[in-house]
This record gives sequence, C-alpha cells and structure tokens, in this order.
Amino acid sequence: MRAGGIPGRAGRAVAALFARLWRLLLTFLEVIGLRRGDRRETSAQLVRFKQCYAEFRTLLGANHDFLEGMTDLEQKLLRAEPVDPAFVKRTAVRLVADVHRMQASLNAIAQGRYPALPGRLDAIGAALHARLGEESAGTERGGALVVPLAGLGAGDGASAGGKMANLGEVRNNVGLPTPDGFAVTAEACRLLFRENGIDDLVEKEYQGLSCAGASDELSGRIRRRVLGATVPEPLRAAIAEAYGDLCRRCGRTVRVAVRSSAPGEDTEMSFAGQFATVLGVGEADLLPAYLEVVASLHAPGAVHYRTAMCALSDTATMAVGFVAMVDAAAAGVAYSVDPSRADARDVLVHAVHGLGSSLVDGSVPAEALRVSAREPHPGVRRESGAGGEPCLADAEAVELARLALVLEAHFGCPQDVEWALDRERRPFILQSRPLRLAAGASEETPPLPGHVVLLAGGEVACPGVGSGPVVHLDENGDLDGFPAGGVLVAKRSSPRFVRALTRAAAVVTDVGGTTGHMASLARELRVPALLGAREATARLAPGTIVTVDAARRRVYEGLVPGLEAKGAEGRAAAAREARVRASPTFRLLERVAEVVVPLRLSDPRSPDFTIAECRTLHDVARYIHEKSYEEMFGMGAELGDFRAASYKLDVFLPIDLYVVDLGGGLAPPSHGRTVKRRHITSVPLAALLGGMLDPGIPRFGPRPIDVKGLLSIMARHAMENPEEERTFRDPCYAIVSDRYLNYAARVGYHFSAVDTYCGLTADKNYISFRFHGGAADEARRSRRVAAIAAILREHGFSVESRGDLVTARFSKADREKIRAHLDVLGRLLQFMRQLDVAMVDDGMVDQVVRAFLAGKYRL
Amino acid sequence: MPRVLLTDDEVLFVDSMAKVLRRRGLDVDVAYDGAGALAAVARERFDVVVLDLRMPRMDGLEALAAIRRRDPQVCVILLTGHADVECVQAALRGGADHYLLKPCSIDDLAAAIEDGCERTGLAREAARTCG
Repeated sequence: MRAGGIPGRAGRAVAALFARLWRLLLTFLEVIGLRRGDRRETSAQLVRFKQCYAEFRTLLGANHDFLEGMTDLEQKLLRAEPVDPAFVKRTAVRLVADVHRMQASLNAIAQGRYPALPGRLDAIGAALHARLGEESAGTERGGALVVPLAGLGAGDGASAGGKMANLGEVRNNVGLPTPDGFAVTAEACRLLFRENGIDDLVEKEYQGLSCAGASDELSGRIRRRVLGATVPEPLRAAIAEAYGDLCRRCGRTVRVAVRSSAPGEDTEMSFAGQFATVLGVGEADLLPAYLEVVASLHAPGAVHYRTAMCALSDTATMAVGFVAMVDAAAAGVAYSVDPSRADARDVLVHAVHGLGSSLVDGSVPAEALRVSAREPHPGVRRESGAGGEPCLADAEAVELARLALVLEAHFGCPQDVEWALDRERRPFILQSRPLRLAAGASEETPPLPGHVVLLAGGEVACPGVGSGPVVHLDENGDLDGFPAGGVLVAKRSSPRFVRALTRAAAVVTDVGGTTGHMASLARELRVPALLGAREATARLAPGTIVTVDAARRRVYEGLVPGLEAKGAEGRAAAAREARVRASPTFRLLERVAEVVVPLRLSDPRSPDFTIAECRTLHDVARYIHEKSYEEMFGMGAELGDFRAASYKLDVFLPIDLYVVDLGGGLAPPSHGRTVKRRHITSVPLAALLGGMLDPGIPRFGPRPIDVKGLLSIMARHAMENPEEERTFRDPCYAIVSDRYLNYAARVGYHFSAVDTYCGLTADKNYISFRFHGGAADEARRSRRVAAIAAILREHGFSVESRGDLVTARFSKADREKIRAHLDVLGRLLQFMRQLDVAMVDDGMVDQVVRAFLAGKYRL
Repeated sequence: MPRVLLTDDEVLFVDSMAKVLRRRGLDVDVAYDGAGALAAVARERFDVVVLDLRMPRMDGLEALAAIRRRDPQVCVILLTGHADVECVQAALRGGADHYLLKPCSIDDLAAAIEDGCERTGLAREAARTCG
C-alpha cells in the first residue's frame, strides 16, 4: 500500500503542477495581450465600486460633521457657556443623524455585514431621547413669566435672555450697582405667540428667510402680527405686579427702559443695536412697549444680521428687560481694553452729558478718555472733548475704568460696558458684554519675559497650564508605564493615549487637531493639550522640564509660575462657572453629553472593540470609522479581473499598473486604453507615483520579458507556493478619484496596499498602508519588517508589525503633508524590493533605515 | 440637468427655495404636501426628493414609505424644523438618505442634493447592470 501510494501521489502532484503551469501560461498570455480575459462582471463591479466610494465619502463627511458637532458641545461644557435648550436638542438630533448616516454607509459598503449596528444606535438614541424628554418637561413646568433682577444670574440666559441674565450677574454676583428692574421671560414670549396663534407663522416665515435671504416684506408681516397681538391675561397681570413691586422698591413711580434681551444676544453673537429699546416708559405704555420690543425680534435689521451670521434659530423668542431709568448726569461706554491696541492695557471711556443714547447714535460728540490701568497711580488722558463742560472728572473716569476691569476679571474676557452717572454722580452699570477684538488679538499676549519659549503654535484642544518632564511616546509605547505628571509629547494624536493621558500633566503633538478623538479625551480629562504643534518631538527633548501654556499656544523651558489665572480672578471665574453649571439647561447639556461624548472604544486591537461595547455615539462613530478603512482596504482584493474598465499606466515600473477611475482621477486621451503619467489628475496617485519614480531609486527593468526566465520563475513559484498561485496573474490596480487612491500590488512575493484620502479637509485625510510578504527566510523577513516599520515611524506614521505583516496609518494632516507622505511611501515601495537580498544580518536593519533616511537608495 | 422635487406645505418657503436652486442649475419641481409629492414621483423620475416632515394630507414619514415603494433608488432628503431624536431615527430607518434641520443654509442643502444625485445615479446604474 505504502510503496504503491508514493508514485500515485507523485503523479497527481505532477499533473497538478502542469495544470497550474497551464493556467499561469494563459494568464501570462493575457497579461502580454495575446489573450482576452473574462469581462462579464466588469461593469457591475465598477458600479459597485463607485457606489462604495460614494458611500465612503458620505461616511467620512458624516464623521467629520459628527466630530465637529461633538467638539462644539464639549467646548460649551468645558467653558461653561450658557446654552439654549433648543441648541441642546438640535445638536443631539444632528449628531444622531450623522452617526446614523455613517452606519448606513458602512453597511452599504460591507453589504450588510454589520447588522447589529442599527439596533445599538437605536438604543443609544432612545437614551438620548429620554434625557431630552425629562428635561424639557421640567423646564416647561418651572417657566416663570416674570423674574425680578434680584433673582437673575449668568445661568439664566435661556429664560431671561443674555442681557438681563448678564445684568443680574453684575448686580447679584459681582456686586456692582445697576438700576433695578425685572425680566419678562422667553416663556412669556412663547405664551404670547401661542395664545395669538403666531407660532407657526413666525417659524415658517423665519425658515423661508433663512433660505431666500432677508426680506423686508416677510419681516413686516410678522411684526404687524406681533404688534397687534393681545397680551394674555396672566402675563398682563404678572407685568403689572412686577412693575408695582419695582416702584415700591425704588420708593417712587419710575419710568423704565424696555430693552430686548434675546436668548443668544450678548453671548455668542453680539446683536449690537439690532433690537428695539423704548426709553422712558410709564405705567400706561408698558404693554405696547413690550410688544414693540418683542416685534423687533423680526425687524429687518435683526433678521438680516442673523441671516448674515447664519444664526437663524427655530426658537425665535425674545425675553424683555424692564429697567428703571437712571436720571443721568452723564453716560457712556467703557472698553476694558482698547480694541485697536489690545497690548496697551488702557481702558477707554467715552462719555456724553445726559443719557447715553446720544452717544450710541452719534448725535452728540463724545468725550474720549484713555485711562492707563497699568501704573500704580493710574493716569487719565483726554483724547477729545465733548465741547463745553467736561462730562467726567478724572477721578470718575478712573472709577469707571476700575469697574470695567472688575467686570473683565469676573467674566474672564475684555468687556464693553454701558454706564451712567446719576444726578448724585453715582455710577451704575447698565450693561456689560464681551468686547469683540480683532481675530486673534486676545491671544496675542507676549510671552512671559525671562523665559525661553521652546515651541509656539498648534491648535488648542484643551486650554490650561501644565508642567513636568517631557516624555516621548508613540501609541505602541508603554502607555501604562507613563510617569505621573509627565508632559506627553508625541508625533501624532491617538485615542490610544488615553491610558497615559490620565497621568499626564499636559499633551503636545506634532500632528493632530481639535476635532479628533484625542482632543475630545483631553477635554474630558481636563488635560491641557496643544495639538498639531508641528515640531514638538523635535524641539522638546525627553527629560526636559517644560511648562505648557495651551491656551496661549506656547511651551516654555523650565517651570514658569504665574501662568495660571490669578487668585481673585480665578475665584470669580470659578464662581461664575459654578452658577452656569447649576442652571437646568446646562445640566441638560451635561446629561446629553454623557450619552454622546465618552469614548470607551479607544483601542481597535482590544477584544472589547465591538458593537456590543458601544455605549455612546462617539463609540459608535469611532467603531464605524475604523471599520470603514478595513472595508475600503479589502475592496482592491475583492476586485478580481478588471482590465476592461481600466487604463493601463505606461510608466517605467516593474509592475503592470491599471488605473480605475471613480471620478476626476484621470484625464485620459480620447482613444486607447493606455495613459501616461501626465494624464493622472488624482492627487494621491500622482504623489505616490512621484515617489515610486524617484530617479534616485535603482530600477529593475519593467517586467521580465525573457519568457524562458519567466516560466522558470513561475514553475518554481507554483511548486513552492501552491496557495499563492494567483501571484503572477494579478495585475496591480489603482482605484482612484481626484482625491482618493486604493492601490494594491503584489510584486513577486510582496503584497503592499495603500488606501488614502487626500482632500482639502485635514480631518478627513489619511493614509493606510499594509505590507506583507514571504519568499525569504524567517530572519530576513523579520529584519525587513523591522526596517520598514522604523522608516515609517521616522516619518510620523503610527506603525504596527506582527510576523511579516506591517500596517501603518498617518492621518488628519493637510493635503500637502499627505502628498509628502505618499511620496515617501512610493519611494519606500520601490526601495523595499532590494531588502530581501540585502538583509543578511541584524546589523543591516539600522544601516538600511539610515540609508533610506539619508536619501541613499542604492544598497 | 438633475431633476429635484421639493416638498413643503409652506408655499412661500418652497417657492423661494426652488427659485434659488434653479439659479444653481437644478431642474426643480415643487409639491405642497405628501400626496402631491407621491403623485409627482408616480408621474416621473426624480434624482432627489426633498421632503418636509410635517405636512397636511400625508406626513413626511408616510410619504417617504410610499415613495420608497415606488422608487427604491431615488435619494430622499428630509428637511424639517422638527428637532426630535426619535423622529430622525424613524426617518433614517425608514429609508431617508439624509436628515437636515431647518434652518439650513442653501449651500448645505445644495451639497446634499448634489451628493444625492450621484447616489441615485449609481443606484440606478447598479440596478440596470445587475438586473
């Protein structure tokens, strides 16, 4: 049995070998154009690939939108910005829609291979919906129609409007004098609109405007409806009662200024001068004045301003402030910083006699005083007079400047303050709002003198100051061994750093942006983070003690005391923050963020990187994003034979490269199926080819054309690697669009694949690279892998290697960087071909890496 | 020229939007309720259908389902002022390709429509080559 079996088995093996050789020969004839391949499936495949690419682009776009939306939400949480409940709701809906679209696209690309995703997403959406539901029921129950100024603070912007919340903050929490008054809330406005049936009208007209531009006619229609509205009885009674109380508190019958206080006004956007103010209103005119101010929500100027700022909101409501008139001897504005010369630290005070409105409308020349806040004995310089009697004595100007600086310290940013002096020349603050400085001006504080700035620039992912010894780390490094209090310095940001982040004093990276996953983690953990600082790893040597001032985008040498907010300022800011954080809307934002932001799925290699482990929208988005790369990567292999739909690239390279265009990647000649390098319009393919064709790299001839030689290689290959018999059959494909490339090449025994997106948005850009190959002994393979990995790491790729497989990723860089890195990859792809022969001993690894980095490509 | 159907019960809104989109080179038809949208889709083929969620006679979700039955390939964009998580999930599960919240800038809407045209084109081509 045994003796007879051997020749039989040998015979079958010989027959199989011949069959294999025959197929290879057919393939060979096909490759050199003497035989035609099977094209039946080609056009269906091309369409499928185009669909996948369209889905992939949608997925990247939705991921980008998601990260932006989430970042916005996080920034509001971090800075304790007052928010509107409608903002929270809309943000939640947008984020859910973004991740849902990502899910649909991934399943379309993967032909439904992620069936558990929709269910998981629904569950997270339901949790979000429940939280939004609870809270909105709560706020509706507690919605007072009128609130006295004494009951207001910074956190009340959503109900009392920005201006009144702010005035309440100044009066109650800063403790500066303001006129007394009360706010008629946004809830009252909703009641007014509801009872008069103008809810729908307002909403619809408003939406029309957002898309078609401001229209005086539409705005006029809404205003007429509002001016003619009947004020509901409970609101009428509440206003009358509040006015009576105000008169009692003032000890006289007061006239009031009725002012707009729209949610959003004076906070994110300055609607300066867009809404109505009615001055000197007596008891009889309270309601008409109220309606006039509410109607100004839709005044042409206001609508135009909002449209221009793309800030139309579906909750067009107006809270209104009723503030006792100050019988003013003088009035004006004070800027806590000179907007044109922020570095001078002077306070500008502008004053007129009597009421300040003449200043604002410019009808009376103002007295301008520059108060120097720096000297121990502040000085006053009169820059222009109002004519006649001066409005302000020097001491009064200094006192007003002092108040402006108190307000600046309290609110944490330069202020634009409206003030008045009454007949007894006592100062009152009428309004205080953030002063708009020219872009960047507020950040352009000079570096602290006497300290060396090692690094400047980058993006602020999380503000704050942190110092400690520099620790360089790449994401494959010892994350758990990261020393507590170290300053993490890395080439690129990665969510895998989370384990080190919990112990880091600060983070600085060369590459990375504020909308990335790591930026989000840094904010969550409150670690000062400066990302995309370009030269961090080069300039910050390991072990050096540094101080990172993330908000001002600087890294100093050594410990730099005094960068943190100063004691009193810090405490005032903390108090303000605590108040905002206690407001119901802010709590709603936090509760929503709990289901959106935290990231559990930080490591794709972890066994927990599964759909079932996704707890938040961020988890789901991260999972989908990661899987989408894998799916697109696999696409090239799924392709099969594709020559009929492609163009053969005529370049001097030892591969048969066919290009499949998904749109905008080729400008082919009008006839023929061959293209030259100049026909390539795909940015990433052009970059990769540029590297591959680098004249410094030794080139092997094109494909070996010695038939005898080729057949002998094929025979040897077929005998040694029966499972890889397709090796010589597969042509290489580059599937391209103007900004996308999926390249897969099997050359000899090496398989390399590149998948890259190179658009105008840095956030969406990435390069994924994979290499593996046999045809060498174990030792040579591992040396080859070590050399490739080291070269890629040196260029800022994050690299993983296992056995003879290397995978690398480079992402979130601008188009130029991606191009430069594709050029490196192209050179490496060609350079690598020499490695099998060269890797004779371990010492060669270092030598090869150095040679490549030095541009010496001939081994 | 890409053929787009805009549906919204707010006549002023939908007409003014149609005007702007036509200026951008789209061939735009309008309907003022869900039933009207369905009738239009039954009459001819569109590249993209834009639907409001809250409409008389037949609301957006119903209209969406009916349109899907009639034309499985056409890209449907929901454009609504109704910010509700359950609603967005129901719509996207129900086969909407995109969900935009009003107010939405004309650029965003135009970009979504352009993207939608490409998707519809590819879906139709796929149906042709495979079927």
